[in-house]
Amino acid sequence: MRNQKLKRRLQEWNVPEFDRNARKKLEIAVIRSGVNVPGRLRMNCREFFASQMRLIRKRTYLWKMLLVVCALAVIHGGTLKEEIWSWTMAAVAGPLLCLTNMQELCNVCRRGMRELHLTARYSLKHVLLVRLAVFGGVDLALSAAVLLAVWLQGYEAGRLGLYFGVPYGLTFFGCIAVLNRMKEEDGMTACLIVGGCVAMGILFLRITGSGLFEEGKTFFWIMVGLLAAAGILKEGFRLLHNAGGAGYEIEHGTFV
Amino acid sequence: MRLSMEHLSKRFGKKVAVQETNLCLKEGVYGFLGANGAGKTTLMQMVCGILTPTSGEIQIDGKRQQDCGEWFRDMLGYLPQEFGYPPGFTAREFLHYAASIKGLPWNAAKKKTEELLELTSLSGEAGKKIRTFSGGMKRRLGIAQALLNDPKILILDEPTAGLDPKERAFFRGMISDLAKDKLVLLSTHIVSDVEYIADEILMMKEGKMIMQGRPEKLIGSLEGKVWECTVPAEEWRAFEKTCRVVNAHHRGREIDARVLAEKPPKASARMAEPGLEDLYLSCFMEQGEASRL
Repeated sequence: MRNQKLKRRLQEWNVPEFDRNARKKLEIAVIRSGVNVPGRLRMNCREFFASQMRLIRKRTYLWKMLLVVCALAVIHGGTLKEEIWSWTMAAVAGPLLCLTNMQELCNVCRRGMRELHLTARYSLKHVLLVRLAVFGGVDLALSAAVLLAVWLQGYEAGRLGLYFGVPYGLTFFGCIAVLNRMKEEDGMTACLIVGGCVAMGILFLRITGSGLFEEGKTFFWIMVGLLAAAGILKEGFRLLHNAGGAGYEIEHGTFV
Repeated sequence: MRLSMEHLSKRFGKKVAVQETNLCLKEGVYGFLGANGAGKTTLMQMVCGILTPTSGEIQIDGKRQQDCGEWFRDMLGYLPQEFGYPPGFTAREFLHYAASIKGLPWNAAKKKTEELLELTSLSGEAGKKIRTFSGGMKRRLGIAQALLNDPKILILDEPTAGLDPKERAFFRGMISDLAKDKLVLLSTHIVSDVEYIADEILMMKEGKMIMQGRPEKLIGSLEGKVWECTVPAEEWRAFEKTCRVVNAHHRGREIDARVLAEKPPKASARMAEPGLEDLYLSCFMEQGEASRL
């Protein structure tokens, strides 16, 4: 019975001619629905940010945590009572914290990887922006936590922040200037030298009794800080400009 | 997929690296041959968008490459002639990084990484630092990163340079297998690398495309022009100056020579089967310049 019905219905069915326009419409619908389009298989900016965060090695965060633990131990142990040494320690910690970031930045800024970055969906500029944002955010949060602990102990958190922040900025400025100019594959050695020079310079001035941490020198510290900030902006823009990616190259010319 | 280049040129100051190149490429393996400095890498870098053409344009399926942006880079896989890598990275970490900048979602990237490590026979070394890798292993890793985004256009710049014959055979097999639905542009100056796997040969000299076609057709143009003969050692100097010797084998007081000539270079000369290497040398070798190959 059922077969007869089916047979009759099949006999009544007229097979339509192949409609090319309908096929085109279907293709357009599939594309619009987002199925089978390469772009749908790619990350959006938020996912890219998360994936880049995963790629930052745990060792980098461990170094940062070690520095913070040391700082908290010093605060808790009451070593800060001798203020002049606490200023020196803060000033030396700045370059050290900055250097914990540099290996990650040097890894991605290698000259030999430029061609890979230029042919990929996300350029070196995107990678650098993520890393700078993550490192900047983490360092700011950790520094704020330490300064809060200092303030809670009743010490001058503002001055400590200045003595910590200016050498940090100075080291960061030196390191990105190195990244912009490095001809070698690895710039980490040069960055270590920059950070080492800043830290050793502060220690030298402290030991030779130059009165670096006297209250009257605050203006000098602020001026150096402003210069470092200006340098960071200039070199930072240059770094991002050079890392602009293939789109930038096509519009503005070649650098390879 | 159609990749076309129209009047493509690139200058570096006064030096013309690529001159008025016109090409139309479809799916298949294209062997890009030319001596060092012929302009192969410059042309490939322009195709990839790394270099900006001085004049002319590149189109993908009729769209200007400059207008394609991410869409084009999403379907591009590129293995540079030399690529740097962070030496502290393991092979797996490097591929995860490459997958991230290519925009692959994390889970897909992890899966694809393992597949490609398997494909390139690097699974056992995935956790080892890249600085401990041999040249061949680094090239395999380079191929793996180029394949991460399942590219429709795969550009390989000298993928077999500096590799031993076993590694080169591995690469030839892999590229041939991968090329089923892709446009593969393979640059090399090692003729045997493309002889067996290229669907079409492109030959470049001093920035110009001098020859393009199927290998058998191009080689066919040398039919009846390749000769083998034995030359006494005392006649060798004069013979070498008058003939285009593509190969010479010294055997005591006699030399077995392979020669390119319209007519038999000696009465005793035997006609030989031409090969791609003969074609290459006929394009790049001047008369009186004996092959050092």
